[in-house]
Amino acid sequence: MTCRDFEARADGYAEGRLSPREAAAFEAHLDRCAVCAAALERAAEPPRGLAALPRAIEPASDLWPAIHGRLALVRERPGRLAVPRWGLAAAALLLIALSSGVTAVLLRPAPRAVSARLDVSALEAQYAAVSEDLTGALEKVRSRLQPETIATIERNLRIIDTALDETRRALAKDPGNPALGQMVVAAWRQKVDLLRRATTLGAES
Amino acid sequence: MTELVRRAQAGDSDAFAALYRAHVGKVHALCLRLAGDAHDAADLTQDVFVRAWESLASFRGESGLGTWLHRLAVNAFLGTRRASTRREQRVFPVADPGVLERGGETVVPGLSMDLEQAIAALPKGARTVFVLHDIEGYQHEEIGRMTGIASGTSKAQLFRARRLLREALAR
Repeated sequence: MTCRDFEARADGYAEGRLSPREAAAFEAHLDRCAVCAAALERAAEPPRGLAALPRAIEPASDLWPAIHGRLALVRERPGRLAVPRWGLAAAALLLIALSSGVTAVLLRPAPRAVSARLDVSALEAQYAAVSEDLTGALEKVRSRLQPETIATIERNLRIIDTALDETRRALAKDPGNPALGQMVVAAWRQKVDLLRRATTLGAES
Repeated sequence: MTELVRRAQAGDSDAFAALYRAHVGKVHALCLRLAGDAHDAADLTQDVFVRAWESLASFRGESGLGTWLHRLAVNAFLGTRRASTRREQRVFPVADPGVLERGGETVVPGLSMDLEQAIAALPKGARTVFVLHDIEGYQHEEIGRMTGIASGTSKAQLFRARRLLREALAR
């Protein structure tokens, strides 16, 4: 790309009208042409008012309780691991093995006749206990996972939690509806399964 | 290094709570501008302080704690890239717009809120470079190293961001 081509494409780049190939050529030209880089800098000054932007913006709600809860999951003193890394992995795998026995029972599909009279509250309590244990185990091996993997896991957990909350609210309004009870249990099943897979992944990394 | 930092390094969560209170506004402002979304910014801010707790022993005090937390926030944002799917919710990046006026700094009435909105509406790549370069003061070479893009790409994205902001603010 020549400097003249570069100049002709500047507006198109700013407005996102260039093809990916043209945009890449535009960016590459800037890497090697100081004249065009300087011209581009002059062509677009920083907006007025930047210096007046507040340096601090408090969150809309207090984040400390949630952070404090997560610190409790870390448990060890900051920056220090109470057990060696292989120990964490071994502990996580042991918990997965132990919880698998419980979750195998919980995850087993219920026969139709039984599922019609699910004791949702009792099942929720059991799933919640398993989920809490696995969340703690996942937190211990979290540093072994790639940031993208953690982001994916957390995004999926948020989706499941949202579904769980919505279904639970619907069940509260219509407590006799067996389909809603089954949906609540199905959401828990998904959550425990995801946590178990994620913890296994972290422990084996 | 302050006494609070030493106590937090020794595992005192009350001391860490005090550090959180002192720094959360600045960390959250950075997260909000990088993410362009209030929900993602709250998640990111939480992650930054949990990571800070986990790695506080490695903080030697060569830079200020605020600078160290800022770097953690930038790294957390670049690592997680959570901001991509919520453009439709960016009506305003702050749940309570009044917090901008309560920021404690001189605010040009109207202008600052328009600018915040315009920054939040930028395409992700352009917004990241703009916030890091024009607000946080990083150089293009440093942005390139942190984000994995070429220096020329960083310059081009900054140009795009400034042009889009100028157009948005002229409307």
